[in-house]
Amino acid sequence: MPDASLMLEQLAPELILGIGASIILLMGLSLSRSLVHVSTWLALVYVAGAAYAAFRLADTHTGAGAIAVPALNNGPLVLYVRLVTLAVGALVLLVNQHVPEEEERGEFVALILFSLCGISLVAIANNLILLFLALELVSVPTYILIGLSRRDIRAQEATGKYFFLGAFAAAMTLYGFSFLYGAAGTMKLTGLGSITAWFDAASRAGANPIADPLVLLGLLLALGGLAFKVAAVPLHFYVADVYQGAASPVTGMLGFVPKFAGFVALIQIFSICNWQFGNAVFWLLWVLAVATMTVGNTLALMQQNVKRMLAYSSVAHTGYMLVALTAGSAGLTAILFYMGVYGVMNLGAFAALSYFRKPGLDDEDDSAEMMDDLAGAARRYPWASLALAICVLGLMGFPLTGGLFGKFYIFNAALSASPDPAGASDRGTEMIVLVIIGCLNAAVGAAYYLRILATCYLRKPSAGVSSCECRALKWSLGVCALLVLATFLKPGLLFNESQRAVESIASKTSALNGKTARLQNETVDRQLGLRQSEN
Amino acid sequence: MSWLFDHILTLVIFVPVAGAAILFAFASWDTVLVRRWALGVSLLTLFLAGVAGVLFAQEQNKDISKRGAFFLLEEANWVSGSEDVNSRPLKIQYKLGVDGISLPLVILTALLTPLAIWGSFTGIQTRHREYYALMLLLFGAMLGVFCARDLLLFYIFFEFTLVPLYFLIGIWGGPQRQKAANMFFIYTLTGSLLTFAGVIYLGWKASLCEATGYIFTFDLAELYKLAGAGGLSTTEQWWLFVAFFAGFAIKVPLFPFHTWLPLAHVEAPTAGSVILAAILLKLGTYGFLRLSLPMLPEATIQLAPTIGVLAVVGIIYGAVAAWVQSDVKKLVAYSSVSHLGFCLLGMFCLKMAGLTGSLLYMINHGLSTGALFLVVGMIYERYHTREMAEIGGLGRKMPVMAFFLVVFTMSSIGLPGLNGFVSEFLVLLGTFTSANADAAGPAGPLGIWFAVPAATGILLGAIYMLHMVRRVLFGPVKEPGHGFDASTGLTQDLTRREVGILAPIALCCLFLGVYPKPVMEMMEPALEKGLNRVTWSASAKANDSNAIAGRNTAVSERRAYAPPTYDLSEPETSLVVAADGGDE
Repeated sequence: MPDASLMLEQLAPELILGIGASIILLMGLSLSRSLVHVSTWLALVYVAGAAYAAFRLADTHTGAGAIAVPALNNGPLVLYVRLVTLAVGALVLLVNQHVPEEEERGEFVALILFSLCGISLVAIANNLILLFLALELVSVPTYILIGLSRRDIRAQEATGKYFFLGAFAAAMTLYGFSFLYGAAGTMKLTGLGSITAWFDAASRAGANPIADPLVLLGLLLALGGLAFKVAAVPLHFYVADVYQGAASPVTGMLGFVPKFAGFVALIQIFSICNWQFGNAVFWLLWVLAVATMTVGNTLALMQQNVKRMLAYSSVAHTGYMLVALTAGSAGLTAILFYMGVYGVMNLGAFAALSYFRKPGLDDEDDSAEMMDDLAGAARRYPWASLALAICVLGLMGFPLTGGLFGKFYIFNAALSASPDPAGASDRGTEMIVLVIIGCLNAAVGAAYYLRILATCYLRKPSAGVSSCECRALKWSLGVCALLVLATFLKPGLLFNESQRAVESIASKTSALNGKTARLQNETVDRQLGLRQSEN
Repeated sequence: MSWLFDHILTLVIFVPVAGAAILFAFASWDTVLVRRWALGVSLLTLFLAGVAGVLFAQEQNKDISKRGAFFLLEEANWVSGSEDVNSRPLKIQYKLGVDGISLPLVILTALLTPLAIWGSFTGIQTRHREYYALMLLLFGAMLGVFCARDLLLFYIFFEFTLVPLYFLIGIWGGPQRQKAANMFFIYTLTGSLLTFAGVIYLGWKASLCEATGYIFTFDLAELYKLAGAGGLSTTEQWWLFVAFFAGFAIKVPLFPFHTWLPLAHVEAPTAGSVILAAILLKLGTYGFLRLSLPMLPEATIQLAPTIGVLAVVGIIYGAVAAWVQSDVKKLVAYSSVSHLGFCLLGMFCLKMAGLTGSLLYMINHGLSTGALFLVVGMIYERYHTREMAEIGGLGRKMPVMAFFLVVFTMSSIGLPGLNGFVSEFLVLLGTFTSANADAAGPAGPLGIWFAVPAATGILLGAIYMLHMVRRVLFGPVKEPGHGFDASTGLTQDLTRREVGILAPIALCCLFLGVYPKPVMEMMEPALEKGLNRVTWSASAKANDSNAIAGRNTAVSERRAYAPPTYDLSEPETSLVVAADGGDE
């Protein structure tokens, strides 16, 4: 049994976040206005501290898997998830700075921190129970945040819907986990005596564990529950109402937090079977990807409300990431990269929506929501509109934005995986068809994103639209836009990190395919050749 | 100085972009300053493009064996991923270079855009700063397409041209501008996204091929080797051709994908139409010439007859449709459909004459149609109508305008002595002789059955253009009730500024019509190289289906067909001006 201090040390970033959140929660009870007022800034300090701790951990523990605590992962994936979560999380905090009422600020900020903490834990968990708890830690605060964010009755409706459906999905995931436990007889995900080890042993013994109905049922139920988290068809129907009900800054967070957690969990779950899903799971994912892209884009095309449109578009983006998931282990890098870029673009778009104000209920300002609210915004707010345009072009996957490389890596992964998607059978044609469907979907997506640009730039300004005075929001909007541009200019920075994050998973899979040896030899030869030619 | 020479293409591309950024950032500039700035920046770009042209000529003449290669190369790694899952390093480069195919188009772009900007001084009355910033942005993106030597970089510039033009049409266009802008954007984007899939697929195939060193690369020089080295099966080439076709044929636009064009042209502001017709449509034809032909030779030969049919139908359809238009601008727009049919016909006859004609056609169509749109815009600014029923006999009221309109009309219908004739003649010559094998190469896929109907297109072209000239310039004077609009400081006939815009184009038309030799000499080596790529690999395939034996045959045949002066293995010549001339 490793001693507890080691375990705590490995969890340092999460502990900083968790303890920080608790402190802010208590401060929120204070009667002193000024103490409550600093909670966002204090939260940023904790986020920075957590990032520092994550870096320190990465420095001290690289390669030393020896000090592994059985229940915790401690690989490059954890580092990547931590850093992306903290980076986007800091932006989320800034964008949300103006949202909560004065007396609720402490709770609000604390809940965001808890949610961020949950995402890292999803990557860290090496145990089904821990994984489930981490997922719940991500979700539960978001239910409350939606309700806190707005006094509108629709926010209450959204909370209710999201909570009950979320609870249902969580139950489904847990049910699936129980089957996996039943089949393998262990809760551990990887390592000695884990489900993965059981899987390997069974495959080596000649059995086909993925065909085991218990395993299959477990995987499918887990996938079903997680499909809700990432908003994949057919569990996508809540998004529009929930996104519309929540205040725009919170919606921006909803596009990132549950989705990222869901995809990391999917990566964890599918790693059990070494990405060798048989035909059934492959086709299920294929159909899910096609349906999610198509349904999301089609429904988005029909919306007049920008928030609902972006909600359905987030479904479509889940679809693109499912394309990469269908590609198996080759697509993991693309998913992680896309998730980082998408989180920023989406947050930026919602930040811009919150920046434009329109008269709302009770003589209070509300963030822009309908297309008409954005009409001619470019004339009056050129810089904010430019930032919105950059984020929207990014979502479209257009050049000059990281969105282009997001799509590039996804389609790339799908095509590259085609001759040998971890299985024995050749699925080249299926993957190419999937890519073509993806491209056509991106074109449909362009049609409705273009409407946002058109309203902003081409129409006459409408009366009654003003802007939000919150400085944090303005700056974070600018940062989001700049990050979207930066990921275009230097995609390698983020991409190489995401590649390192899943290297171990991917190399293990291809080792199983028995192909790596040859390819690695070739690589070595080539590198030697290069070195010689340099000399 | 040598630094400037080493990075001349980067400067050519990014000077306008920087100019646009400065324009966007300084909200306080007044209209006059904004206009002067935009014109100044674009003229500076023209100057830099001219410098690039001189450097190119110097480089090319230095070593006769390297004629037809790319010069002025610049190279930097942009995205170089570490080894990915299957041990294939990703390599996307920022790689620029020009050869005899792209340099004329760069110079055409650099010449016409300043004139289009100058021509907007009176036409644009609102939101000046944004307008000129977008024009400069578009300018940079177009130059980037022609200079890119990395397929992904090409694609990025290619697609980015959509955004500025979308806003140019959507904000400053006619009454139906929003519909036109949306249609233009979505139509072309849909096509180019399929191209995107093709681009990725090509890069991936390169990573599986020995000839490209198992690198996931988009370097055009590497991708050109792919088909010859057996890296692409005929079926794959076929599908890739279709993917590229989707993007380029819509852009050209080839019949029946032309439906977005008339609306976009009619609604666009004058400068937008000029740029659209003169340069943006060429992005499609240039894409075919640069990518489809040399990279997918077998598919090119297989599909050439299909494209030939579409081109011929487009020539006739465009001409007939132009004939019945009552709106002058729409007439010119449909004439573009017809003309670009010629351009593709010449390209896919796969003969040197046809290819040279086709590339010249791109330049000539850019000059004459661009100028026609400018003249139409000048009439519109005075009378606020383009309906031929409402105007007439303007020759008496505006003799200078009439002179230029006649010159450009003649250039457009191919009067000998003006530029249109040379290219039309070469295209038809190439198409007629396509079916014959001769000393320069094996038989091409097209033939007399394509040439004869296409030739009637010339006749139709003369009919509709002269019909237009007659109605607008001659006969009794007819003006809309309100007379001409002098509110923007225009005079009845062309002002000095307007003459200054049209005269350089007219001179170019005359020069290219009388003495096209220098331009053709610049183009030919590069075209020959491209053509040889198509014909070798095709003949290799025909002679021997075995890949390795096929390659050997291809090598021997390439020696047979290719003139000995050209080094066909395409050595990458880097710019060495700095070493022996730049510092003086």
